[in-house]
Amino acid sequence: MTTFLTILLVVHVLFGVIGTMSAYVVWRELLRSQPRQRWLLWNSLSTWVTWLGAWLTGGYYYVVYYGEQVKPVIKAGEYAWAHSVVTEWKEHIFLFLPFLAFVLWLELRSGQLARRQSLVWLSGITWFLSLGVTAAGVLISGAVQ
Amino acid sequence: MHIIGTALGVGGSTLAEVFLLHSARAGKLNEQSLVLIRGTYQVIRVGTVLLVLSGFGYFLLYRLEGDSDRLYNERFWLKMVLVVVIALNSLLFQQHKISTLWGSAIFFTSWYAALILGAWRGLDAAWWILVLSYMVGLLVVAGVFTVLRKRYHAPL
Repeated sequence: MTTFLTILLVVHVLFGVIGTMSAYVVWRELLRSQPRQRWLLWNSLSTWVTWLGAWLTGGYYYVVYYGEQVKPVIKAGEYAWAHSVVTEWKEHIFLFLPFLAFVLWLELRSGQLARRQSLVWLSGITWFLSLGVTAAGVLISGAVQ
Repeated sequence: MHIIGTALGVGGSTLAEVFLLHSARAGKLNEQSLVLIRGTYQVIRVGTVLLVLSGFGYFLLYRLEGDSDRLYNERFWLKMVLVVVIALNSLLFQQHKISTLWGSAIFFTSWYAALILGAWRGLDAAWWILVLSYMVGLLVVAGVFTVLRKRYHAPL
C-alpha cells in the first residue's frame, strides 16, 4: 500500500470514529431536559462533515485499492463472508448515513426543537447504525489475513 | 494515550463512587460535592475520548502491520462492547432510567473489566467465559455497593 493510501485509510477511520462520537453527543444532548444549542449545533456539524470525509476517503480507497488488492485476499481467505456480507452492508448503510447526519444538522440549525422527539429517534438510529458500520470496518480489516 | 485514557476512566469512576459515598456519609449532597462529582465525570469523558481514539489507533496499527488476526480476538471485541455499554449506561444515568446503584456498578465493573482485558495480555478465553466473568463481576460489585450504601444511608 502506498503512503498516500495508508494516510487515506487512517483519515477514513479517524473521521468515522470522530463522527460516531459526535453522533452520540448529539443524541445524548437531545435527550437532556434543556439541550445546549451551540453544543448540539457543533456536534451535529462535526458528525456530517467528518462522515462526509470518511465517505469520500473510503470511496476513493475502495475504488483505487480495496476492490483490486484487498477484496480478492478476503474472498480467498477463511472469512470470505466478511466481504460478501459485511462490506456490502457497510457500503449500503454508509450511502445514506451522511445524509441522515446532514438532515439532523439542518434541523438543529433552525434552533427550534419543535420536532424534538423525532430528532431523538433520528439521532439514536443514526448512532446505532454508525456503531454497526464501525464494527463492520473492524470485521473487514480483520479478514485481511 | 490509551493507558492515560484508561487511567482517567478507571480512576474517575472509582473517585466518583468514593465522592458519592462520602457525601452520603456526610448526610448531604451539597454544592461542593456536586462540583467534585461533575468534575470527575468530566475527567471520565476525557478519558473515554482518549481511549476510543487511541483504541482505533491500535486497530489501524494491527491492520497496517499485518496483525489483522488480532482484530478477531475476543478480548479486543469485548473491550469495544464495554465502551458501548459505558456510553449507553451514561445515557440511562443521565435520563434517570437506571438506579444510582446499578449505574455506578456498571460503570465501575466496565471500566475495571476494560483495564483487566487490556493489561492481561496472556488471557485467552472464549467469548462466553469473558462475558460470564463480567456478569459475575457486575453482581459482586453491585452487592458490595449495596452493602456500602446501606451502611452510609446512600440512595439505592
